[in-house]
Amino acid sequence: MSAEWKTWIVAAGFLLLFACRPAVIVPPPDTVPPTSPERPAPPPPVPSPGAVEKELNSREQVAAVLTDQGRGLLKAGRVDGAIRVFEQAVSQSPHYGPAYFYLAEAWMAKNNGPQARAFHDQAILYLQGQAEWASRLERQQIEIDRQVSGLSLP
Amino acid sequence: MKMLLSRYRPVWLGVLAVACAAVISLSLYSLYLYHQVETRFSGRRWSIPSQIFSDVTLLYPGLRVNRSLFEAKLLRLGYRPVNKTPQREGEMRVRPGAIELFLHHLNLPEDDREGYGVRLKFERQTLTALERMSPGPPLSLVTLEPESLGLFFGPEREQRELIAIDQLPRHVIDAVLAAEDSRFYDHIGLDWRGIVRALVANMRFGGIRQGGSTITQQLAKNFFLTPERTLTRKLKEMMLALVIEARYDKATILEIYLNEIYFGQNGSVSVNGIGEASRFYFDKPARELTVGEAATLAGLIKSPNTYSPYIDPARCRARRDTVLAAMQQHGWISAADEAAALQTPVQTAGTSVRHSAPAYFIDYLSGQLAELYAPEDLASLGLSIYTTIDTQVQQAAETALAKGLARLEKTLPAGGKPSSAEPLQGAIVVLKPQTGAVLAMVGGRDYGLSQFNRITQARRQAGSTFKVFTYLAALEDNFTPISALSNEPRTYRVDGKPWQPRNAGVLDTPVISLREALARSVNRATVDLAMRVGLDAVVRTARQFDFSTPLKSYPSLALGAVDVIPLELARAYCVFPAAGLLPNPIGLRDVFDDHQQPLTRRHMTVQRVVSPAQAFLMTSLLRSVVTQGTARSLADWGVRFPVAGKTGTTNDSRDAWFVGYTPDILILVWVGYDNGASIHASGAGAALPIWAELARAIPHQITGADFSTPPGVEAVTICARDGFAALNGGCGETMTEWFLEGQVPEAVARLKPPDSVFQRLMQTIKGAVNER
Repeated sequence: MSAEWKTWIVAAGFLLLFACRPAVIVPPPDTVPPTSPERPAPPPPVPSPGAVEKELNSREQVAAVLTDQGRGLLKAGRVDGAIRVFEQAVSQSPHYGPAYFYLAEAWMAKNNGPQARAFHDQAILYLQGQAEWASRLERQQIEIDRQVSGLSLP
Repeated sequence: MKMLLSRYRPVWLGVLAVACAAVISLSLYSLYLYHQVETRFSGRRWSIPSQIFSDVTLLYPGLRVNRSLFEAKLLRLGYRPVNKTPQREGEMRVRPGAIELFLHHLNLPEDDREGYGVRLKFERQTLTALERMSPGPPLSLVTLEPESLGLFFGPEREQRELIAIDQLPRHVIDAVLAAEDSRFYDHIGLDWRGIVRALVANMRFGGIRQGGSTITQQLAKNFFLTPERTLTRKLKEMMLALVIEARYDKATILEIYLNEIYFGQNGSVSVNGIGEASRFYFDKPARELTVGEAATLAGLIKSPNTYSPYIDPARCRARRDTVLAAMQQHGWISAADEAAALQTPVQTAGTSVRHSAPAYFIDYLSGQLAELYAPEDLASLGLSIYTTIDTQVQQAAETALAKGLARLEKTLPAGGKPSSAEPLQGAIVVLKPQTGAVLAMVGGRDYGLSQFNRITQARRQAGSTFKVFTYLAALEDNFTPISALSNEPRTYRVDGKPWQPRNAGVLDTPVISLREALARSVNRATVDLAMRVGLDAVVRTARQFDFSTPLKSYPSLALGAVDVIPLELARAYCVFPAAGLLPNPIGLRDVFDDHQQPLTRRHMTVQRVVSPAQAFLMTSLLRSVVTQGTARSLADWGVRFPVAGKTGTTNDSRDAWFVGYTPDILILVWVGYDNGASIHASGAGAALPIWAELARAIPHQITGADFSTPPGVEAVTICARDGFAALNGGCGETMTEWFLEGQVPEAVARLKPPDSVFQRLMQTIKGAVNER
């Protein structure tokens, strides 16, 4: 191996070490380390993570089926019935965003802007990063704003 | 002749006048009776109590279930165990790896389907597959009907399930006719043969022994007359029978009769009508009655409490056999059918199928219904009232409380029990945090002894469970989980008097992190925090949660020296698993009239109280209570899934609390004496074991999943020992700490390590290039 190559390897090594160097620790004025003799315990183990994952997926599928049913009722103008079914979906899978989205739609149909907004916010929370929902959420936001501002007019 | 007529003319005229007057009077009276019959039968014929139902149960592959609770539920729903493949509605076969059910017909506003056979396959506690037992589309979801929880009775306390005559099998009608009025279709309301037979019998015995009443006469008597046996009443009955026959066809008369007739007593409640009798004696719908069962019920009509299979089985069987013989004699069943039925014993459902209702919850519900309906309407209109109750959770809660209190009583020191005979009390409420649905409510140990609902009516000191509001106010004020709090003894002035908070245990460290202070429920540090945040800010934060009890800004408020209604405390804690939304608790969902038309519908309603990020951070802090703090014994009680929560113990151990939640469910447990005596146990010692037992019993409501992380929070790896940023090789043990975005303390942020070696390399190169 030539001396030039050796120089490059040593330089790269130094560079790597520099990148991974320990930082200088400056204690912040308002923080304190945990002083308990017991070290923070890791969370208790969840029994069979695979089973939990599987159940969560099942619940989400059920929530999807229920949300579809609710959409059907909403289309048919049975708003209260639709809300009842969306609530069932939320009960089964509390993080299932589409159920919140359609809850917001249903509450808009009932002219209740504040409730629609609360559920719309939850929909944003659980549908974030899902491109196919972005424009629909945006449209819903505009409609809720319009409804709420309309309601607040004298 | 002419002379004779003229001589007796005044007599004839008198007779004619009397006859005319009699005919006119009779006609007018008949018209009056006709009007009475018309009014009574065309309007509401019966007072039907309103019925309260639980929530529906959804079944799908992947769901974990508690088999014993689930099977008990199926029995309460009226599914009857059989030893063969279920072929009729309401039959079930239970095997180790599967339950086969022939589902009941489901008739709900949002879900109406016929019954069908389904096989539920299980692997241990998990439902693995749903299979139809006959050809049809694949199943992904099965809805079990709501369970009856109780009835709102009027003063007459009648229970009745209405049946249309075309829903009844022919042999049920034949059995009733054989027992009561075999010539029903041949007479006009009065059966002269029967009357003559009764007259002869009565003359022989010198009094009224036989009535000779037709079904129509019995109907007239039940609807319009008093039960005394007089000639006038009998004549009235006969006239009414004629009027009813003139007005209504035979099918209508028989239908009214079958729904009206008295079939015995279920405790203080009278069982009326063939539908209700079928449920009470055989726990099945009337359309499923066998020939023998139909004959048994028909035999009861003569004297329900004499021939009741629950009172005198032998006499009941003899009477049934008489009815069967009559049916065969009339040619309504074959000799073979009769022989088969005679060989079958009278198998009743047993009174055990009648279970006690969740009485405290029903009281809570009654309060809400009273705002909507008059008591007499609830008792008579036959409304269907649908609620949020999950009967499996309710049953598990009742069991866990009973066992937990009994266990605790054994450990109480002899001198620790209150002087009065008052029993140790406890209460539980289970909520769905995202919807506010009340899944279970146990307001006390024994409703029979005390109807005071400790979940909705009690005002108890919250103790350390109230500390969360101080910590939440602190997070809103830019404190972080690693903020330092003082644990030094300190004296505060309250109303001009000195007050010094004391810690429950020994903790000699002068400073403590915010996370650890909450995890270990450190009083001095919490008061220090409240004073730094400002008591008004703590009160403001707590008021956002809609407590109806007064909140005053004393330093002791931070430690929970404030009375709360347990349901309101449970509701407040829902905010953390529900991503910052405060739900309104709902127990009542829908009220439908007797034609299944909606009268009232109540939906989940929520309001934002804190951001999802703040809610998550509070959950993270409350997770530490369970993993390393005062509730760490939860693992010893077998709870292995992620739980966040807070224990609470008030002065002199008068109240013990544990409010704990998973992402799916929230459970509050309170234990104490009504008179405020000490229970000599902490929240962790008294309430937490009950919580654990309940939570473990309801896998269908708890997925075991971890809490999900919303946007707006940041995880930073810090040194477990000294609390600052961990670097490779820079410190021994590390841990993850959560901060609200933008609130990572400067020193920690500055030292936050980049994500990977490659990123660091790239940064260094970029830095070098920039320097050039």
